Amino acid sequence: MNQLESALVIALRDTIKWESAGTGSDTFYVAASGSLTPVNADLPFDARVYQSRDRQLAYRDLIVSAAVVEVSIQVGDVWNYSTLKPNLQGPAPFTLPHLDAEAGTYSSQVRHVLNTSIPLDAARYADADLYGRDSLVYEILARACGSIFTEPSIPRLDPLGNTIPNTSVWSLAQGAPAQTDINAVLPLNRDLFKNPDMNLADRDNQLAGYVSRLAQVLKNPFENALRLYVQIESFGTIEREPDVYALISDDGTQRIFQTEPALSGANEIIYHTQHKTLQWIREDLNEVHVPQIYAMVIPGVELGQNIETLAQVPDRKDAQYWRGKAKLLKPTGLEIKDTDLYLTTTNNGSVIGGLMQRDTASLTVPNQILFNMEGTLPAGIYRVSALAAPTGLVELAGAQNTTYTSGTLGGATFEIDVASGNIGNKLYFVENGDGVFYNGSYYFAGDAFMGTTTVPGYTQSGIILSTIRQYSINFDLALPAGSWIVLMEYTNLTGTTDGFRLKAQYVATGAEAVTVIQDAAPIPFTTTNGNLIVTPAAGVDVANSEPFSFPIYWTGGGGQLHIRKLSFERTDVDAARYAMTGSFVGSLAYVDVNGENKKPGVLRWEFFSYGSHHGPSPFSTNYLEEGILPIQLRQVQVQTIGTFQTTPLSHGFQTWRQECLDRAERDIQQDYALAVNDYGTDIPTLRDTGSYWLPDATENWMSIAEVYCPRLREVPAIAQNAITDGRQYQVDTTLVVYHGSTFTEGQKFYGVATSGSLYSNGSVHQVGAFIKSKAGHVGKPALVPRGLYFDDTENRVKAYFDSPDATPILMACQPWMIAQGIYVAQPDFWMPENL
Amino acid sequence: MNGFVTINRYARALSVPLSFAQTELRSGKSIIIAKLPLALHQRFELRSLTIAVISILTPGVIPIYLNTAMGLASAGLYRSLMVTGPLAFAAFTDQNCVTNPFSPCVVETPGIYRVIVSNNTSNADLSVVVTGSLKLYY
Repeated sequence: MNQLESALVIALRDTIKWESAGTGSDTFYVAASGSLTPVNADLPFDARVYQSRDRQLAYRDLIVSAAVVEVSIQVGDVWNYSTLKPNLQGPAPFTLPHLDAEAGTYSSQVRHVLNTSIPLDAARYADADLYGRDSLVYEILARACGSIFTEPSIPRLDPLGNTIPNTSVWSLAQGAPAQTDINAVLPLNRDLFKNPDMNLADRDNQLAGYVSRLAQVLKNPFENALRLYVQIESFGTIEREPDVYALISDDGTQRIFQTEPALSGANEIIYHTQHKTLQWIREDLNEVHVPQIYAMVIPGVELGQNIETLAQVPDRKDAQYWRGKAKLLKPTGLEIKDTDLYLTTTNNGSVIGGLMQRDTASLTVPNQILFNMEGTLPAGIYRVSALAAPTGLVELAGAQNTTYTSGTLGGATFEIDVASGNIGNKLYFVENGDGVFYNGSYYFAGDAFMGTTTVPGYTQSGIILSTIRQYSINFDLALPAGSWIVLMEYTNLTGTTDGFRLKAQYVATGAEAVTVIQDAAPIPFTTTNGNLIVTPAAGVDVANSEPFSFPIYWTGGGGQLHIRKLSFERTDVDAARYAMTGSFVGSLAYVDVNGENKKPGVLRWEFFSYGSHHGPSPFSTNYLEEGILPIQLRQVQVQTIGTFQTTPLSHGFQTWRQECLDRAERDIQQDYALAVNDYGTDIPTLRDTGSYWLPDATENWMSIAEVYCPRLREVPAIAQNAITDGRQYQVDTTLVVYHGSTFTEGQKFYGVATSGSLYSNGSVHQVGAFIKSKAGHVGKPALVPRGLYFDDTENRVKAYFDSPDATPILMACQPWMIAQGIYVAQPDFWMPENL
Repeated sequence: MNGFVTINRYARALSVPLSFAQTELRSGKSIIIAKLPLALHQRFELRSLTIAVISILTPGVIPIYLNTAMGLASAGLYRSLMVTGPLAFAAFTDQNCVTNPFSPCVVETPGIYRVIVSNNTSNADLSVVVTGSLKLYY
């Protein structure tokens, strides 16, 4: 109320004549301070002064008119509703200058000159009142605008409301269209002043009429809007991001607005024009929203839920928004769901059995392997997927020896200068001197002895002291029978040496040791300590698939030997068959597939269980046949297979999720192009030498895509000092505190630069539309750099394009993409695999 | 449209039917029914893939499954030979035997792709039919 309601009765003319209004560049310009040309009562009467004041007042009318147009345009932008607009003489600013001292009353009256007046009365009463009317009209419009719009298009004159009152009453002030002007050639009488002032008052009346109507639109946009922009809040945080609800029906009683997915009778907001109520209808239709008296914020369906109509222009939507939209519709068919049970790496203590290689678990020969996982599983069908790579290359980290020898970066560092008291269960070598006495025996220079932790000390047996160093390390493994190539990666860590004498042996169970690497001549070391050298290839014929030992002896040479990696490779097998049983939650399943050497694939088992499971749920597999090519098992994931609880009346919307995905892809591509444009020539290179693409490159590439799309990828467990400006986070624990605000589990907040990067009291994850792919995600929509491919010749992932042209594209996830850490769309986007 | 000039446009589009007429598929065997070499700046979408088991040719047999996740017989799109890792597939069970046509399987990375039909039992010979449709953009 108090928005010039009485002016609603003023009949609006289709034309306002502006011919006597000054413009911004001439002498009738209204000063920025808001002052009019002053009248000096001590000087002789000068009609031009009064004339300029009237023209300045006319110009103020023009500004008010421009403000009305500006607000009308904003109404159109926000609600897609075209309001009445006055015509304008020409371009005019829409910010009205105002000086309180110039204004007379703000009661919308005009004290016109009388026959008894003196000329000065025209300035100090009539002009002042006209000035006040302009300011009053403008301010009431600005207040209506400011109270509704997030970003008001015109500023207020009196932000504190101290001087200009709200009023619902508007005086016509003897306004009449006269189109007259003060002129020195006209007789000096009442009409010389009054007629132009009545004309000005008439314009004010017209503008008050426009403003009163516009205020009504702003007061209740639901009466006229053709589009609403509505978000759903829950306990102060956004539950559903702002959506455009478009008017689809108006029968005079109900105005129905609907958003996508436009299911029949769902996702609607209904405004009842007689009851003045708003009602929200969701897509699930299982709870009814009680209609609420209209307001920009009304209570929602659930406790703590609010429905807020935003008075702002809809913004461009990102992939995360489309994720939220996609999940509003549950399609018909089988639903695959990820569970808490997965291993993204297998070179850890969760895996028992098989052969642990440097960066993955593996089965080199028929054997059993068990993956320990823990979580909660409902009853039903489980899909267990393993990212597998058949490969003739078997790589052991140096530290995977069986002689308790570890070292930097997973290698094995031979002990040197072993002091008495430090003898362990290893083979030692006596260097120089007169020898040592250990565990009841004498050992002389050049002798080796087996230590034991039960006798940790030794004594020097002569005058010249001997030194003790480690002599060997041993590896136990099994490989398919056949010819293999052995390579060792080694270096010197301390001291100086020009080479090492190394001997390696293949020792099959119950058989004589066969020397694989001879120590007749030292293998050279002519580089800086720490640089890795690879031994020349040596051949070994593995007799059968039984376990064997592979000891490596350091028989000569100074320095300190460090073996980083031991590898075996066979190249004579291109493909092999893998028959494997799987056991999970008391159920058995089988795979029997072919695999190609060094080409990743996915092994998939399906199990059925009658009961739900909590806690440890190990998955084990038994490799039965055919044992000619080892296979790496890099990741394991458990998913459930169920049925979507199809959204009612959605049979015509089966492509909805795909549509959301397509829209997300377009947004990501646009954001990537913006980031590339911003980087210019400084954009970082992601490919390695030779165009190779490593998992790190995937992360860096996602970082580029994330510049303008901060809600692109989900990142788990954000460190408590790593909140980033513009990114969104969701609380995973009972509560967290960020910048003094407390957020409870499930709530989301944005990182803000001024609020800092720290949070406390729990943990959060970064919100995003894509997650890092896991073994079960083959075939799901993946975000892939254009030009990325798996090179079948080199069996490596390469990129045709560098970062500027590596536009993100969505395609089906392939097994090698999972190995590269490519991200896939969140399950909310997933469609049934089959119909 | 994303507002930028990109290389997302293709000069031609070709609809490619997949038709594998009724064929005897021995137990444990698979057949590559289509091989699709995809080059840079090419793209294909597998729109649909359907498998039908016309009959079980081994009389009175109770099928022993080799790949329990893939049903009696399956047809799928593959980047490798591992039949349990399809990019899209139709597995003949009593419920579903067609890929979801509302969610096409998009492939845009260069490489050789195969459509493989597989008998996933160790003791039942089958008579199968596979049909499908893909769209090649180049």
